[in-house]
Amino acid sequence: MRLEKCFFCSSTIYPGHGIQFVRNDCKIFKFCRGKCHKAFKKKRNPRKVKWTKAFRKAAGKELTVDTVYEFEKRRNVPVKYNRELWQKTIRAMKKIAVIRERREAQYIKNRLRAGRTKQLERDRKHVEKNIDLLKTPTLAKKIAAARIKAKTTQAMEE
Amino acid sequence: MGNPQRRKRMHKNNKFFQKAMRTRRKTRDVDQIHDDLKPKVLNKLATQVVDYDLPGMGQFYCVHCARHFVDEFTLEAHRRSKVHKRRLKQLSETPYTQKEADAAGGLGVYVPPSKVDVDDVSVVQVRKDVGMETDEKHDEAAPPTLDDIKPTKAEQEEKAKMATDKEDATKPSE
Repeated sequence: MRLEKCFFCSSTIYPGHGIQFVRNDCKIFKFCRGKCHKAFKKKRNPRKVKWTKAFRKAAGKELTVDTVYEFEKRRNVPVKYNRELWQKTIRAMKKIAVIRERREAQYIKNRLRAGRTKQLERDRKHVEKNIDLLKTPTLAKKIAAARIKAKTTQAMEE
Repeated sequence: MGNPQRRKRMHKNNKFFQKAMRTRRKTRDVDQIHDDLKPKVLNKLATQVVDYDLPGMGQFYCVHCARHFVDEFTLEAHRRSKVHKRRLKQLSETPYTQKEADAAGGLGVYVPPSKVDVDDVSVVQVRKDVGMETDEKHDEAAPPTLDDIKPTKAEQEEKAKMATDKEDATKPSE
């Protein structure tokens, strides 16, 4: 049993799922679902389609350069069953998964932090520009003074 | 009543779109064109055998867009067009592969795509550059190319040169 990766979106294809296309030069393309197959038929570039893994990696949205990605590989070498080895690898896999998730989350956090600082800067500028709206007490005084003036002039005329 | 009961040519009823999507009408993918642009294949595509079923007898082929044109004028017009330029831009990155898809999905280390220099060469130009060499390679049994039918001045001169060279080569041995 093999778990393949979708050509378009890089999601895992479990047995009995998806569709396979063999081009007339014998190249095989595997797709996880109709959505991906259709996009391929429309000649979409997976790197340009925002919902694919390839886009997220190519555009720097996700962590790419890290040692945690060097464990999972297609080795193509059958390994004889060994209880101890089996147990150890399973334990290691779980640990690596935890580390990987943490690092990925941290990467995204760091990436978003830049946006946060920019937003703060923008807010500060906005306030500086429209500061007169916030100075209500003086504004209120001015308005009140103007009203009194108008009233007195009216009374004088009468 | 008075209104149409069914909307025309919407979504699934778009016949032209559905037809274009069929495998039978599949055109070459970008990664295949990258292979086509390798000099060996490019020379072969540039010096295609005359095929009366193809537009322009298969002599005016745009390798980048995988399209045949009627004559050199239309080929040149196409090469100046937006469609062609868009295709060149598409070709300017390393082609997407299953390996990249695997890496993006966590199988191995992801290597981001790099830029590729794509030479915007015309088939006509390649034919001129290659000139004699490919002509000689053609089997006698194979139908002649357009160049064979009416060779240009430069080719005639080259042919003449080649002939003299051969004579020179044979003389010393005698």
